[in-house]
Amino acid sequence: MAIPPTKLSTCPPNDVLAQLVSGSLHEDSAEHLFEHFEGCDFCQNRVDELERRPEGVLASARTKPRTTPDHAQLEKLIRKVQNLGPSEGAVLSLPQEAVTVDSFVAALRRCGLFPVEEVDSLLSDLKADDSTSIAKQLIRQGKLTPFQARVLLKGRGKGLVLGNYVLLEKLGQGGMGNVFKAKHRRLGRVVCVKVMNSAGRKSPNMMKRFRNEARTVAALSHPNFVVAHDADEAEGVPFLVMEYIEGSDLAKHVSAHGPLPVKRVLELMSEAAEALQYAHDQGITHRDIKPHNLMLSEEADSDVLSIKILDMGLARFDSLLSDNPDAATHAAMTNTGVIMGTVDYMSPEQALRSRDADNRSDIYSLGCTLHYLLSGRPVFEGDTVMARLVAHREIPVPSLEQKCTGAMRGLDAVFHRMLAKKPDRRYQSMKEVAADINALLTGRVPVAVEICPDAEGSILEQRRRCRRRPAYASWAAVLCSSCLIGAGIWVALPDAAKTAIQQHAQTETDTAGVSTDMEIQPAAKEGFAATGLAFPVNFGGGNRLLDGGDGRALAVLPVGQFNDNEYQKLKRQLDTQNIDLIVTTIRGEQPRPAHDQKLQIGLPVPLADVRADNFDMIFFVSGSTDEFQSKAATQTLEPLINTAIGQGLVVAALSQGALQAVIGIDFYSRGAPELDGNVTTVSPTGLNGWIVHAQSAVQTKELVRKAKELCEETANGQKFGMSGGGRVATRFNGFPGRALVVLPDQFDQAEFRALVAVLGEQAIGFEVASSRWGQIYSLDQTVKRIADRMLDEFAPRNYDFVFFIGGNTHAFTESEPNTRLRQMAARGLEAGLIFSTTSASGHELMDIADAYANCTFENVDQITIAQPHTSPGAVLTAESPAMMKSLVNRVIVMRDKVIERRQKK
Amino acid sequence: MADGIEVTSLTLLGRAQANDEDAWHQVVHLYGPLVEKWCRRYGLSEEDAADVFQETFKTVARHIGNFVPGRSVASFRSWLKTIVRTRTIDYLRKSKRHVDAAGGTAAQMRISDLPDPLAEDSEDETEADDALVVHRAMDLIQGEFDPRNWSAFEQVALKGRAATEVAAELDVTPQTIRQANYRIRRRLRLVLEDLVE
Repeated sequence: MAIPPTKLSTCPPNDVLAQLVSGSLHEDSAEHLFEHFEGCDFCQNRVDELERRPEGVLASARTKPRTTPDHAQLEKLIRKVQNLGPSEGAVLSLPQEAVTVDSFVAALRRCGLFPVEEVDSLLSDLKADDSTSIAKQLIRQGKLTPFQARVLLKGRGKGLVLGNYVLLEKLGQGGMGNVFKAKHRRLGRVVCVKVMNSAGRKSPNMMKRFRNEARTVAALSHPNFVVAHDADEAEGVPFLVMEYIEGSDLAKHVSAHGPLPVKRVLELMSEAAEALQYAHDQGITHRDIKPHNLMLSEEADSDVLSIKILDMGLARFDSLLSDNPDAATHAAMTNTGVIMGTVDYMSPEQALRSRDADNRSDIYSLGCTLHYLLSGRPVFEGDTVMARLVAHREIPVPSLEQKCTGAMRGLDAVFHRMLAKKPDRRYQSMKEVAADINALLTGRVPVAVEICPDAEGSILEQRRRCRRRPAYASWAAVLCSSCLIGAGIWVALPDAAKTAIQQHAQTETDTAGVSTDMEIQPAAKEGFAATGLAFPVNFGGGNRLLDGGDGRALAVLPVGQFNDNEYQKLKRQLDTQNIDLIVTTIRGEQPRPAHDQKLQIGLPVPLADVRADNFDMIFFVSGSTDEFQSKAATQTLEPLINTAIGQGLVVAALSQGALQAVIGIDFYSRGAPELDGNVTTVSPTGLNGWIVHAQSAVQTKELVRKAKELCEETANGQKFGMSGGGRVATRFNGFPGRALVVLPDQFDQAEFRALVAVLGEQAIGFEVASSRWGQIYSLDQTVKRIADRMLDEFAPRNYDFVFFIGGNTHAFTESEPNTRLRQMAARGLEAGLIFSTTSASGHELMDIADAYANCTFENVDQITIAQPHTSPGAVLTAESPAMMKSLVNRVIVMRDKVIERRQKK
Repeated sequence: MADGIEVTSLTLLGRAQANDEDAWHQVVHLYGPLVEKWCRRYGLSEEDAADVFQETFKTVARHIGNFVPGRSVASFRSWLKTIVRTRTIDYLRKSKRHVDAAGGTAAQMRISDLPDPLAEDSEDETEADDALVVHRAMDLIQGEFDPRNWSAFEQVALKGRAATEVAAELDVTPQTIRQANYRIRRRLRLVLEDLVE
């Protein structure tokens, strides 16, 4: 709440007084209030009353007077712990790894922080027999910083001194280097030093980028850009010395203090826009504008905070590109970066081809930053990078006015104009942005409102309008979202004009590759279906995932020995109730039955593959359940059980043995048990889940009945939007299918794009997995993504299709991914999944066909289209992207046939 | 929300996260008694409680930098409580290994008897916990204020007396009392912000 900087003539509203009394009001504002109180009896009384009846923490102190006398023992403990210190706490985390005293001392001599003689005198004063306590004492004496101590405790001394600079503290880490706070040896000046790491030094592209940054920073001389002091090399290590800025970046600030007031944000954004206009005038595009790169710094002589723009690592010189015949190399350099910047602030064109990112891309990023500062959240949220990338390209921009308090009219118009999907529809320069923001600040009408009055409508209204005219739905959406024309005008247009607009929109849609008409929520929220397009196209099938009958259960079996009687009873019970049972063991090993050695239970899924939310109930079977308490097991089980309980799942341990095993995971303690016949039902308070366990194997029947009842109760209560017994089924309702796309680290972009388009058209959601961590990119390097989800994270059972994209597929044959792939193939085929490689290049994958040979193919029914050399499994190939569409169609037809045949059986 | 951005008046949590030693001392000062209370409530002996107490704060020291209020757990208090519980369980498990089978069951039962930190505490309990921290916070800042102002604050905020009445008693203007009250509450807020919701 802003208080005008003049004496208040009217009485302040209640909430301001409440802020004063709670101490949350800023001192300056309070000053004005007290001035007002001087002459206002009414307010004096109001504030006195409020002060006598404190709310919040003071209320607790008032109703609960001091009770526990502070005893000496406790104070002693407190002092002991206080001496840990947060930084020493970090040191304390090291002792297991810390080197011996000798190596530590050697490192200390080597590091160059002190003259060698001084090291001796330093050490002679200390008495300690391990390196960690020596380090701690040196920290306390101010001889070492905690950061330096940590490095030295690893036995490393080199690199703490760079030329004339002594590194003090690590400030951050990036893909190509680290950023340190450092001090000039002789001048004593504190600076910020950016150092290339060894991986970066090996890469010519990284080196180019590093030099690029040095040049860029040096080229900018503006109060809002960080000042470059020096760029140098020490022992072959290049580093860049920049001004050190005291303060915090806006991302940290918002995450610590919450969103900022509108007026303050707009002032900051206007300042940033003007600074970026200056950079753009010098021919420099920043290309990595985000809250993390905007620092709040205190000006030396005033208490005004201003913005400093950091990190020019991705910046681009226009002149470089136009004058330089070597432009292609430059483009490659910016395309192969390790970290391409977070996608939350990236313009659609930059995500697609970073060389297409011009000054207007910075405008988009600044718009996303504006959203974050005001709401504390990124514009689009989604679980996967892919989902967010697609959202930036496809999903209409939401309203910002509704997410923050005190927004002025026209804010959405400005925000939407900054975030127009097409650069041509955005502001064309930062100058225009600054002008409109200043208009907002001074109460004038921004240009954006004049251009596009409709932009003030919320996205919900826009969509509602679209829905009213289903025949034009997608075009209208294009029109609404791109602010071309208001919905009201649409109806009034003659048919010929409509046709023309439709055609125009059609062209746009075609160039974008994907239609813009969509429902956001289910897809973006679930995170798995990046597209989630609500298409009229509807076809049957797609139900592999949904064929769990009335529900889906997971049985966790111990490997060494499991109680197969128990298991079989459970299985029979579930069968009669049409509940699908899936077996898991900790690493996917085959478990050993205790009684019937011939019992076949199929291939268990490794625990790591299991996602709790794909099941209705989880059962723990008894046997050698000790192994559930191993570290590896608890690490996986704990989150699984927590998710399961959090989502209202039924978690049950069959028999005492299993119960004891999982008790170590202590989920039973979530509530007091209450006995209900032979079945113990635990209904924890504050949680929506149930825990059911039976005391012996014979009670399984009752248990399952109970579990199912609970499931239905949940379903009827609509607590989790379930219906029927199958929460899985409803969860995925509306999606005709789900596909997993596996990418090698360099993939064929044409194949990938064609597949995505076809899947999107058929409303098949997809997730992307890759065979390794880090950056993966297309063969022509126009498409990049950060591989944030590995093969390990996906359970093939959850998909209808698995597609392998061509490219550097020999990556798949490396031992680790190959093992994963083999397991996946075996399990997937067992489940009747359709595997496909989307091009001839994917043929290398046939190497995993061996895995097919070991599978029973019960459910596959010989659907082979292409003839891979050895595999009798469902492997399809398309020789070109053009064939993709028919390929997927054929897959669907085949899949339907398989389902039909299975049903006949 | 405070108007504008203040780098200087960083909250206590913020400073502790930035490795400020004083801030760390204060965090421990504020929460020490509460952690001890929880340890004892888990049925630990004084000796065991002392061990768990130290382990808890070691964990806090290591991870405080990553704690973001409102992200995964609602508050610093519930975050801390979860840590206390985890460390208690670790401790009981460790001690379980050294005893025989019967003792194992006993340890199991103790573990399973631990109250869930995320289960809703009664309002009364939460209030008592908060009060413990607030009293510690008041101890911490009392020395920074004029004793007369401090007593005025106590009379008004804790005893619920009217500012005018207290002012007459202390022979100052009511306005002085109001301003002093504001300054103390403001200071208290900066200490407790992000920590107590």
